[in-house]
Amino acid sequence: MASSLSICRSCLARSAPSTLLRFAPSTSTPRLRLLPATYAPLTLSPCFSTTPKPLAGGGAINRAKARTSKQVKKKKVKTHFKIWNHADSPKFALMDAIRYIRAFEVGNDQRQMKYDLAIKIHTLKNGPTVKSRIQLPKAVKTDVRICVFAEGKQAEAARQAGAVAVGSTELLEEIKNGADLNYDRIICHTNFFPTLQKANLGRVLGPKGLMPSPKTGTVVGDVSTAIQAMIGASEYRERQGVVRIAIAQLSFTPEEVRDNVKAFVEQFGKDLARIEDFDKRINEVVLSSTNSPAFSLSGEFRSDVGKIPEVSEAAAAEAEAAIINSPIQVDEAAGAEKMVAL
Amino acid sequence: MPSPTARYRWLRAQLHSIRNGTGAAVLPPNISRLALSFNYKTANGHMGAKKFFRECLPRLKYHNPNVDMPVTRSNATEGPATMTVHFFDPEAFEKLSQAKKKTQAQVQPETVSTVEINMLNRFSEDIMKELIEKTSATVYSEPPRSAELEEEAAYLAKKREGELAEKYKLQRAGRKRVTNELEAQADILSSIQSQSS
Repeated sequence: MASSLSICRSCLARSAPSTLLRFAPSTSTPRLRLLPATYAPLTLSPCFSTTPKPLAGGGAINRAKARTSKQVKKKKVKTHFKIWNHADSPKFALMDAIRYIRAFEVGNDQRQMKYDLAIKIHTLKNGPTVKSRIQLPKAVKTDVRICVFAEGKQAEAARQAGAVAVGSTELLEEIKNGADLNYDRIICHTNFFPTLQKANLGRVLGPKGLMPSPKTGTVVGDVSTAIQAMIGASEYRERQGVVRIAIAQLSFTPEEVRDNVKAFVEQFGKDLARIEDFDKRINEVVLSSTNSPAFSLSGEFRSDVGKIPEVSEAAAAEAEAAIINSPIQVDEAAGAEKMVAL
Repeated sequence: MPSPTARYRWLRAQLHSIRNGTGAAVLPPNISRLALSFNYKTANGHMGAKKFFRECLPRLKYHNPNVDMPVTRSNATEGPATMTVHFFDPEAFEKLSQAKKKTQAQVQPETVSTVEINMLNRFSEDIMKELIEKTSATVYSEPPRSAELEEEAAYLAKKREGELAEKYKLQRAGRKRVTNELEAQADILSSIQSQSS
C-alpha cells in the first residue's frame, strides 16, 4: 500500500516561497493524495464515447449564446493598488546603486540633480493616505527664503537661524509700498501679530499664500526653531500607492544618503503604523535620480561579494545592520525573506 | 510605478551598456581629475567631443568612481575642445589626508602634472584611444552575453529609438505651430498699422 502513495507534483510546486506571504499557501501541511503513481495516463480523454457530441466548430457560438442568455458576469473590482511579486528581480546594495547613478549623471550639476526615493505600498485604493513632513539628517533643499516679523531678542535669533529678512514696523511699511516679495515663507512672532493684523497686509500677502496665520503654523512663539524646521523639512505624500521624495543631492556622500534613507524609511514605517484599522505595508523601496534608471534596494549598504571586509569601518557595519533592521519592523513578510536571502 | 519585470528588462540592457563598450577602461590610480571643455553647439568640430561625453564618459565614470569628471560647455560657436587629465601623487595625498583627518577638513588632491588631449574634429573612438595610450589605462571587458539577452537588448534599443523619434516629431510639430501662429499675428498687426497710416 505504501508503495502506491505519491505526492502530487503540482501541489509541491505551488508551495514555493513568495513575497506575498499572506496569499501563499501554508507550507506546514504538505498535501498528500491517495492516488496510484500511474494515475496521470488515466486522465487522458478516452478514445470513444457513448454520449452525443456537439458539432465541431460550434463551441464558440454556443458559449457566446450562453453568455447573453445568462446574466453578464460583473468585472471584479480591485480594492487595492496592484503590487507585484518582485522576489525574482535583482536587488542592489545602496553603494552599487549609487555607483551606477553617478555614472548616469556624469557631467550634470551635482547640486541640481537629486536622488529620488520611491516606496511602493500595499494599500487600499480608498483608504486614508499618508501625508507628512520630515527633517532629514542632511537637508536636501536649503535655499528657502524666509522673512520674519519680530522685535528685540527674537529678531536677533531669527537672523542667526538664517532668515533672509528680519524686521518690524519698517518692514511692514516697505511691503505696503510695494517692495519685492522674494520670499518663500513669512513668519510672525506672536507678540507682533496684532500689529500685523492692523496693517491690512492680507491683500498683498494673501494671494501669494504668504500671510502668517496661527492655522498654518507661521505665527510662533519661538522663531528660531520654526525657521530651522522650515529650512530642512521636506514634505511627502502617498499618491496611487506610492510615496516619492527627493532624498539627497547628488553631491552627498554615500554615508549621508544612507542616513537620509534610513531616517525616512523609519519615520515612514511609523506613519504607516499610526493608521490603525487599515493594513498598510511597504512592498518595495526604489532609488533613482533625475536622469537615471531606478534601482530596487536590497536594504544593505554595500555588497561584500569579492571584497575584503575592513576592520576600521565597524561603525559603518553597525549602521548597515540598522538599515537592514528598519524595513523588517515594518514589513515582516518581506523582512523574513530578506533574512533568508542574507 | 511600472512592474518590476518591465523595469528590469530595460535596466539590464542599460547596465550592460554602461559597463561595456568604448570608454570602458580602468584608469591608473594616480589620476584625480578628467576635465572636459567644449561647446554646446556641435558645429565646427565639436561633435566628437559631445559623443565622447554622452557615450564614453559614463562608462569611464562607472569604472573610475573616485575620479572627478567635470564638464564645462560654453555657448560659443567656435573655439577649442579639450580634455585635461590631472595626475597626482597618491602617497603624498594619503599622508596629507591622514594628517587632516583630525580637523575633518576636506582635502583636494594636489595636481602634479597634466596632459591635454585635443578633441576638435575627431571621432569619440579616436579620443578614447589617445586617452588610453597617454594614461596607460587598462581596457575592461566582460564575457559576451547570451544570444537571448543580445536579442532582447537590440529589440529594446530599437523600440526606444522609435519612441524617441515619435517624441521629437511631436516636439517639432509643436514648435512649427507656435512659429506659424506668431507669424500670423505679426501679419495681422502689420496690416492694421498700414491701414491706420
